Amino acid sequence: MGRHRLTYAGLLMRRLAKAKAGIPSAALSQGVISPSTSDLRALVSTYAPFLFFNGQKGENQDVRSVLQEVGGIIPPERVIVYDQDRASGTLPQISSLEFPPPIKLQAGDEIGVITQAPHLARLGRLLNFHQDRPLLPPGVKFRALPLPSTAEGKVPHAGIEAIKILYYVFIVQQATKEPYPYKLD
Amino acid sequence: MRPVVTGALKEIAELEDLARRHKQILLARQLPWTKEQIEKIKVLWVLSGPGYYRQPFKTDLEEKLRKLRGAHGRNSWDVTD
Repeated sequence: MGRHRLTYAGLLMRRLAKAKAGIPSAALSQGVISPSTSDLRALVSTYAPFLFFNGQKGENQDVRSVLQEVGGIIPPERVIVYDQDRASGTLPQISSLEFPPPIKLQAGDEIGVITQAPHLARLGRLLNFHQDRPLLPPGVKFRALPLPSTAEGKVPHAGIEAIKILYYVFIVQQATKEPYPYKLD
Repeated sequence: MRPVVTGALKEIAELEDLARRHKQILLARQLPWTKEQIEKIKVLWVLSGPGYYRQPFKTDLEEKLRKLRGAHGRNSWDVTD
């Protein structure tokens, strides 16, 4: 279910919440501030961005059950697990997607997209295809938040995604040659 | 097709570099963005799949890649996940 991606998202939620709450990064780096679990959970609930996950049925069930565990730091109210009646795959995952409430994106907002670096390159080309009905409202930026490939996966993952990009661009014709313009910083 | 592949591989390399840079910064308990940038991030969208990214690394991936590269007719395009 993308355990590494979800763990990364949870870490970012915590860090972003602390930064938004005005806890200085120096205090974080020196370990000066270490709130209790309940304080941290309240901080995340108030300040963290939403986590959005639209996995397959079983994956969504797993995420929901993890969120119900006692003592967790990520509060369920900041996580939107979205069920879709869809086939497996990246294209079905995005082709009929509409972000549900309470997500209200408007110009100037950013959505951080978390997946492995090679997968992000393909996703960007699939997202760019339906410019007549864009997934993101005008003015909303797509921020790339890639996870690095493992040492042994780096070359084969890049290769397989390059082949898949060719497939979606030239065979299926559901992807663009250039990616959606995302932020790389 | 070659420019598409070249462009994609270059982009993947840049994304891998970005991922490593972010990882180093986060391990140092910092964030790679300014306060203004942080305020703009409203949603973190976590993609699910494809399964070959799960860890530990799937050793049969090299075989799958070899088959895809092999171009044994159109049926070799089994790349839908």
